[in-house]
Amino acid sequence: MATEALKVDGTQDSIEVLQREAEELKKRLEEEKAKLKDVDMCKAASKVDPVTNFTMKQRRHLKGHLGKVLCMDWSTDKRRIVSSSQDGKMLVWEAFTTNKEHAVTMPTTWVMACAYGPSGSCVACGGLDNKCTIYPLSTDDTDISSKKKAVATHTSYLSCCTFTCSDNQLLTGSGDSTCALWDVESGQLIQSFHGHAGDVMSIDLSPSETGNLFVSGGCDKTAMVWDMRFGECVQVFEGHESDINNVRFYPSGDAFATASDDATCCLFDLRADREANCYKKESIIFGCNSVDFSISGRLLFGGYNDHTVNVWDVLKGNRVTILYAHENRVSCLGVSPDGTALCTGSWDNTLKIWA
Amino acid sequence: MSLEARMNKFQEGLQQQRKLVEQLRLEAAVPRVRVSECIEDIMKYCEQHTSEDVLINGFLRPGDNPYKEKGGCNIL
Repeated sequence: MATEALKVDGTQDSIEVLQREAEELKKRLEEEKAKLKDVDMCKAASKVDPVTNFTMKQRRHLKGHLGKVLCMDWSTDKRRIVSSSQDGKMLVWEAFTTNKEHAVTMPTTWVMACAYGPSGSCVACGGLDNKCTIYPLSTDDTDISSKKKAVATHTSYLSCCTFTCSDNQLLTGSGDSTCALWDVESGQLIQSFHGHAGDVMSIDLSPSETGNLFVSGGCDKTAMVWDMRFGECVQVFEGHESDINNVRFYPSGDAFATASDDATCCLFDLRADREANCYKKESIIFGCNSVDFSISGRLLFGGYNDHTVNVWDVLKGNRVTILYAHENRVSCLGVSPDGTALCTGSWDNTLKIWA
Repeated sequence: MSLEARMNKFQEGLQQQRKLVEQLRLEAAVPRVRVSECIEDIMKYCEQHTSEDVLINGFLRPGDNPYKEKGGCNIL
């Protein structure tokens, strides 16, 4: 009995030692990161020419969903868009003509995630069904539901999904606070990613050539960068005061942007391991749901709860313009792969294309 | 709670704490670059790609925009 009690004491001691080390490491990390902030991005970019002659306007209005639009994704052919909605539908649009090429009714409402396969021959979607289902897109057969295939299963809702470089692997994020990589063919889990202390809301793959990194953001107010090969979290980014709703890599792969319920967007740099810039204004008090960069990385589009899209100058940190985009909150947006157009989706049940 | 259950709980807590410290050690070992250097690279990337960014510059000829409304008059 006495020896057992001693062991217990010994364990307590080492927990305290570990706690002390953790505190010291945290403090050191904070100090080191603070030291690196040797210049303000807006000041550093003061000599850069401002963005002028902004000519983007609404070009197309995609109507057909009977509920809030929750997610959208461009196809790599730059012509097609997949969107998913609270009404339980997933639609595939031809962006130039606004024709609906495919419609799928899901088993549940709130289809929160959808993604186009890189080959353009399939789409993936899911939501409250906790699953990610793949639908092959064929032109001859109108009912693509007959060929559907459930690939991923989480223990809570599916919040986001994306294919990796091919149609063969699928990366998913979920309300169960994990991300997971799946083999499409076998439906088997390849790697799971544990670390978030809240719902994962968004994921994005690094555009850099090595292509093994992805970033995730969630309701624990943190963004995490992961190595897909080892399931390891390699970097943690904190600073937001509320949920992170969306994350998107900078086109060079060196940084990523976040959209948060705290009404700000931030640019985090991977190599500096900290925030490089923050996009906010006192007059902007509504949460931001979605972000994406223009193809040069100079503009950052943010879709907000006040129905607008704010267009930010990434370098100077100022707002270039406001797009009075929709009649309800802007839930999702994305720049086409060739950088010629912006698509926005909204709780007003419609999507719009800006160019 | 039995002593055994308490021990298990301690072990669990210890394990968690070890994991946290390991994660922090990993983070502390990450090599970092000064913000000024990173910003320089981001500015360079923007500069190099701005000419091809039609959302900034618009199209050279408005007719090149695939989303431009068709119709109106065509010059033969």
